[in-house]
Amino acid sequence: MEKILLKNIENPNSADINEYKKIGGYRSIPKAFENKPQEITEIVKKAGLRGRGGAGFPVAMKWSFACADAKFPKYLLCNADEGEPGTFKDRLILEKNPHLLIEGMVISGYAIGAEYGYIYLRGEYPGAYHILNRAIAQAYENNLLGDNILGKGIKFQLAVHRGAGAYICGEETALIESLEGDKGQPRIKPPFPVNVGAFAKPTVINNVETLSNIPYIVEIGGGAYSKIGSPDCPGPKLYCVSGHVEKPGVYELPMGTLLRDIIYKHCGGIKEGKNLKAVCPGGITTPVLPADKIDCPMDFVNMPKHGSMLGSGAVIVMDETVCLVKVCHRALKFLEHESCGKCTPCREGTGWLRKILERIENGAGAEGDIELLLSVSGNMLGKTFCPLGDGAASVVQNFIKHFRNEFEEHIKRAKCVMRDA
Amino acid sequence: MITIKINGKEIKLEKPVTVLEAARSAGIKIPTLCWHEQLGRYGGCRLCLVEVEKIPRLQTACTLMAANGMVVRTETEQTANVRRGILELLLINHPLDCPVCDKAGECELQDLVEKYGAASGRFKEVKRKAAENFADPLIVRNMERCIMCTRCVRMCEGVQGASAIDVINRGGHSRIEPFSGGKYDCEYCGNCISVCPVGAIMSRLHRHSYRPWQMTGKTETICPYCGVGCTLVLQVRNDGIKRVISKIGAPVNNGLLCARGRFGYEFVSSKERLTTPLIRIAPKNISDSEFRNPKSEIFREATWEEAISLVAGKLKEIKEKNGSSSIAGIASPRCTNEDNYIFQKFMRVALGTNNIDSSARTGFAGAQSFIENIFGQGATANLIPSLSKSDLILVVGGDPTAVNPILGLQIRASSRKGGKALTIGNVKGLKFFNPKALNPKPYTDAVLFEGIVTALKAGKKSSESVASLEVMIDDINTSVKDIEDTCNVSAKDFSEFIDMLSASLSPAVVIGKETVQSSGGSYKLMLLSAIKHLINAKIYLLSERAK
Repeated sequence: MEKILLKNIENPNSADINEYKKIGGYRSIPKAFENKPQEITEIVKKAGLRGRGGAGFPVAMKWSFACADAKFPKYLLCNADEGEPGTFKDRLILEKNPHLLIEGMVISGYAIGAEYGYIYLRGEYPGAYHILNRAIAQAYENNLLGDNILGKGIKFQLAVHRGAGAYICGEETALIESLEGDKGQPRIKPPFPVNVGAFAKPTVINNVETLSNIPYIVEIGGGAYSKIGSPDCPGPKLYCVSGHVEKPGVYELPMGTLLRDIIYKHCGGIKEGKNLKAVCPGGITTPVLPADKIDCPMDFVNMPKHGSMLGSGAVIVMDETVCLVKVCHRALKFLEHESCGKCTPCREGTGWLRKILERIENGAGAEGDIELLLSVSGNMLGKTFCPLGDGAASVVQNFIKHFRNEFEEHIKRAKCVMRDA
Repeated sequence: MITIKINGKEIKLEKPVTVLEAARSAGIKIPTLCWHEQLGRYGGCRLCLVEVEKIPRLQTACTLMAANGMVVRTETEQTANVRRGILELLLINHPLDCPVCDKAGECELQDLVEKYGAASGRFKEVKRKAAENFADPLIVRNMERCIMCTRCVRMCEGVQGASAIDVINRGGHSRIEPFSGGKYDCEYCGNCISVCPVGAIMSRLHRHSYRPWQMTGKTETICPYCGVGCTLVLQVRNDGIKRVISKIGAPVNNGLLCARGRFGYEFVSSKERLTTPLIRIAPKNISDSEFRNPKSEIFREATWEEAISLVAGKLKEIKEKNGSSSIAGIASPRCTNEDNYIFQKFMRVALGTNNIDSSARTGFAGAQSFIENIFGQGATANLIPSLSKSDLILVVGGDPTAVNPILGLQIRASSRKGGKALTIGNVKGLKFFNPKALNPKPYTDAVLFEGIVTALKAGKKSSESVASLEVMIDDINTSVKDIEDTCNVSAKDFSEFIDMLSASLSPAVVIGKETVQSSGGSYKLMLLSAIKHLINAKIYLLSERAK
């Protein structure tokens, strides 16, 4: 497949505006400005683009909600707080192809009537911060950002805001709280950000990858775009593969590529010829899949049918040497650390689950601990304020669902069975 | 009209409210911890999760707005399981030190666990530990007991406007901490104490001296400190006041108190208070040093009968010898209205004299009657809670949050809703509320007021005519130049000030004693009344004393 999002990234100067223009960059902006804003939304609707942040919400629908709200000004936020463990796809766009994102944001801003945009950048991406700022400065110099873009009287101002290192700030309402200078904690929904978002104004929040798809959609049209990949959620998708594969990295493939193909065809199979044990297909909080369940098309529609989720497309591959109790413990340790503390089940539950897993992994597990894990995570599931606590509970539930015997072995033999193997 | 069904009971709602409020209005109780009637929606504790038809996930009743046709169930097997689960999670870190906790008996968590909780816990690991914090003279914090409902934080920031405390750290490490470190840097309203559902923030004054169920009496009364008139509830044990609590729904203060009202009750049972009448036995020409010597005998204790007949005899003697007009009486504005009424009646009828005075005359009362003479209605006709609905409040000559704290909160509330605060002089209590402040040089405020009157005269909004006032301000003509020169206030600031004043639709003027009691006070009061008249504002007087 022709590269769209990762075009030209082999070029060491790909982040420069001239290099970007050389490969046809910034041609979609004048083309977009020939259309009325609603027509852009129509094109995106026809393209069938769905949000790449993890939830897969139809982009055009989100935009039209914000357009329907009469309040002004409107804001366009780019969620670049890529925090899900295993995910590093946005980083590549931010560092190698920042102008693609800027172009996408200018067009999106025009479509929803937003004159101000912010890129909420993950605090741990200092490199991307400097690259983005340089790219934005270049775009201002070239009159591609500002009060009168390309002399067409269209205004779009863009700035980068750095997060302070909180996973929860990837959740859109927590992101807004953080952007406004408050503690990053999710807000009550409704009202949704499309009505009451940043600074209490209608706000559209899209992922980096989502916005980077916009220039291409405008270039080739919604109809042509919708033919790429899965029919229900078309387009190119960045899969970031990490773990025990021969060639880990970010792969741009059509949406709906089989998980098995990603691992064996594109990434060269499991490292050192070992056997596959488990895969987290969309980041650590998406339900884990055992080795025999990887014949699933990786898209938003099919993954739930196969018992998991596409999430951010972060494929974490684990071979036969991995202790899954330890993986589960490590995931909960992360989620406990990142729990914002607002709601009871997440604040107290993540810590409790982590402690139980810790003692199982250390050989101090007791009879009934698995039932306790299931019960505690069951008390959390569906009762938390935001999806973080749900994610923590589902990690535990799914690891036990598929690998219960490994947990039982740990308790029975009072030690980590994998460490000795 | 919205109709919803909760537990099979149909409830009709006039205006959109949350499911929780709808349930409460129908007498259906849903357990809560983070919710509080004085605070906004939060949805943190998750105890109020209820089943709603057509919504797959359980919903928090405190955040979900009631929609027409909604069918809600609050008491099902599922909700009971959820409540048991949430309470178990809360108890993994909350210590079970109820026997030594002052809150036991009125602890919301204790009550809920008793009603919905499991009989035993399954948590085997070590609980979170945190030492009790005694850095503060009035408030003790025990963060082991904190359940992170954040009611105190939301009270401090959203209602009191002090923003003294917040949640520090995140997740399981969260705790409530004053920004200033261990000790509070705040107004000591203690409203965080009254909203804390557990024993995490408590008053030190009555620590370990009672159990809530040992209180022998409860008296509702009015605070004697300032002129606002807040309702207090005194809880009594063994004839001594144990503590002062507030009452939600009370007029004027509606559950809020200030430092004086909440913590200033110990004087009632002070050992230094006189409880029996004393009759002087020392001669008149006693020397000063001898008078101050605690060993010298100045007074002797007497019975009331003896004391009263002595005073009556002396008064009678004076009256017969020198006539009624040789007697004068001074009453205190700290006495109740009833006492002051009886006092003046006694002076007039029994003693036949009109020589009656009160220290209130030099401040509040004089200003009050001045305003009454001009406008035909007194300042006290304006209700304090309605101050929060003003879109602009001009504060002159005093800090309302210090003199009349509960009135000050209404100014903060107005500011929070987008109202503007304008101040003349130093008003420290509004510094977080972005006031537009003019600070004239000392003793030049009258010139500034004249300038404001001059500027406002041009665009008078009020259609009412107050002839007596208009005559007085007719020839006032102070230019912006005069103000710049005399008051050291920049023309730009001044014109912004005037623009804001004249653009307001529902302004209010709050006048403190620094203006009323300063030299030329009556002239300044006249100018302020003119400003009030020109922008058609409500007027409020700050009063330090109760009556």
